[in-house]
Amino acid sequence: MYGLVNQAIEDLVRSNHGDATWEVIKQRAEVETEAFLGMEEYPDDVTYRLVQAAAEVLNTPSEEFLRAFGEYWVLYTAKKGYGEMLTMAGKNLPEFLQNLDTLHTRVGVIMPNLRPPSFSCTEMSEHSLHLHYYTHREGLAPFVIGLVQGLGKMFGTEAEVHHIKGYHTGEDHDVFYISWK
Amino acid sequence: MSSTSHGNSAGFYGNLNLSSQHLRALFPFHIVFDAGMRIIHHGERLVRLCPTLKAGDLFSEHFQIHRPERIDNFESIFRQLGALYVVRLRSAPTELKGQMVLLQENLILFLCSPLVRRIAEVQALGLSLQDFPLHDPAGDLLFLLQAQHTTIEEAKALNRRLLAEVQKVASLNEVFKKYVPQEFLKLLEKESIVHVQLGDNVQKTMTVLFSDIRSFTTLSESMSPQETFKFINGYLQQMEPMIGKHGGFIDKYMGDAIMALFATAPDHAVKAALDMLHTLDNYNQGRQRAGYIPIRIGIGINTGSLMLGTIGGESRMDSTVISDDVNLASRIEDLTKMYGAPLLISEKTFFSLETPLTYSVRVVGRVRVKGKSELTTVFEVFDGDPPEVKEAKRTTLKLFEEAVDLYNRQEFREAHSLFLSCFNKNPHDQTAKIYLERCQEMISAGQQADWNGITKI
Repeated sequence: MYGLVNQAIEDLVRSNHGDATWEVIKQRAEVETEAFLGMEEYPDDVTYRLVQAAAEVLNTPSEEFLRAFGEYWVLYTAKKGYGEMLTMAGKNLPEFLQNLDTLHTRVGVIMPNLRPPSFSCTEMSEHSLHLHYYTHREGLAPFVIGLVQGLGKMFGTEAEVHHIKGYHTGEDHDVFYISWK
Repeated sequence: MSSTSHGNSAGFYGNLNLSSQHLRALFPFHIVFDAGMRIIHHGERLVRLCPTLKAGDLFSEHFQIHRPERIDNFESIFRQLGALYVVRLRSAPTELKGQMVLLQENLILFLCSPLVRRIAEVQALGLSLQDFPLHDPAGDLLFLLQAQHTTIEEAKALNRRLLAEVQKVASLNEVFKKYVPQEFLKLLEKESIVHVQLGDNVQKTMTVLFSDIRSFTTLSESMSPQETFKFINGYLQQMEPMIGKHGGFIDKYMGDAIMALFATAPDHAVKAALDMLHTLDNYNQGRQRAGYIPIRIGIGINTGSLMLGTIGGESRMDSTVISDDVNLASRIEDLTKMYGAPLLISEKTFFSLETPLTYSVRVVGRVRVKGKSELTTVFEVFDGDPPEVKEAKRTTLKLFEEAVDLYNRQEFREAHSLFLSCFNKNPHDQTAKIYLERCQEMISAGQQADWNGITKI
């Protein structure tokens, strides 16, 4: 993954739990990098180790940490200067979700080794849709849930996310039922 | 003509004539104009940038060709169809970038999109990323430029951190220099303290200077710990520069005592000692004005082959100097009390002086160094004395040295008589006074004395 993801984990931990906690997590994850570079490629393993270590140190299930991280991701990318990109990707939650795939494809175009996830929307109605999530990375569904919740906050829309299908139900990808008011 | 590349290959690919509907969808910013530079139709999104734009308007009402230069009519465009065009809008602070395509003999299509370098510019133009067709690389360019901008900001932040760390290390280094003298590292041929390892050592002929405050223990008894430290530091601050001034460096402080090393000729150590005594005079005047008693110091100097190196264990290391000659310097410093003279040097130092005649020196005695069979002569350098005392010592120099010689040969009565004569001529001669007393003692003790008058150190 690109360093931006690891930077976001670092920023989340530092701002919510302090610098000392981050140092403990980094050490536990056996990450020796002094500072992550946003546009630098890092093995996915680094991210997984950081998530695992953070969950252990913060005494929280890793799914919950991933969810919180997904929510923070929206805030963080905005903070790193990609905010205008986000606002241009849609005026409201459903529009944004429909552009989610284009957004990731664009990122993939400029970061050729990223292998970003793919998204599609089906069953669209006025107050709900099904978001399909395709990725070669495992265990990140809670991150997507947090991400959608974070987007809901960004648009001031109360959104509910349910993980209705996935590897756990024998599917080859995850499906989320998203509803909003 | 560049349009030939579109060629007549319709037969193979079928008829690919685009409808204006397709053109609008694919190129939302395009412009088609005729030979009279009148706009025939245009992309819908262009109206966002140019609200009054409509078919039938003259190209020049809304646009001005910026590049290539000197292009202002159909003919000139026709002649430069292969160029990259940048066209300025009159209604908005932006440019359209694209190419001219000859559709028919009297019809040109300007295939373009707004030139944007920052997302904020897109917003300022009332556009959104979604107004650009997906095939248009503008979105990717914006993404890339944003990524570049963010990367530069990151690099700047890292640079600030680096600078802060470098400053931290630099100030740490400054502190280290105070603990481990740079000269010490130089002698060990180490560039930095980082390279110093336990057991590093070097042997070198050097001059050692020891100084101590007389009766410091008595002095400090009347002071609180704070006062003691304030006093010692006040004193050392005066003395320290005198060592550096003459090319020496301080190996260590031991309470009020200073041990300094000189890698150059011993003359420098002697000059430093004389400067210390001179500085002490001024310091004492200040003390007396403030109502404090003056302090007295003793300085001993010896020259010899010293081993400099590092000693210690795993967690605590120190630089040190090992040599009998260091001990001797310290013992000679001790002798300053016995001889009542503030500055004494060993014979090794005296005989190594480059310009011995420039100093006022006299023999003050011979001592037996522990473990050595030969006696060592100790010299007094009295250039630090008040002028009249110094002059009197010079006048009585021969007499005095003869008396010392007699004393060493245990001819105490004869010695006594000469010392008395010295003392009468110069009642400030503390050494002569001390010798007089010792001669007296030796004479009284007579033959029973089991001591021959030679001091052991």
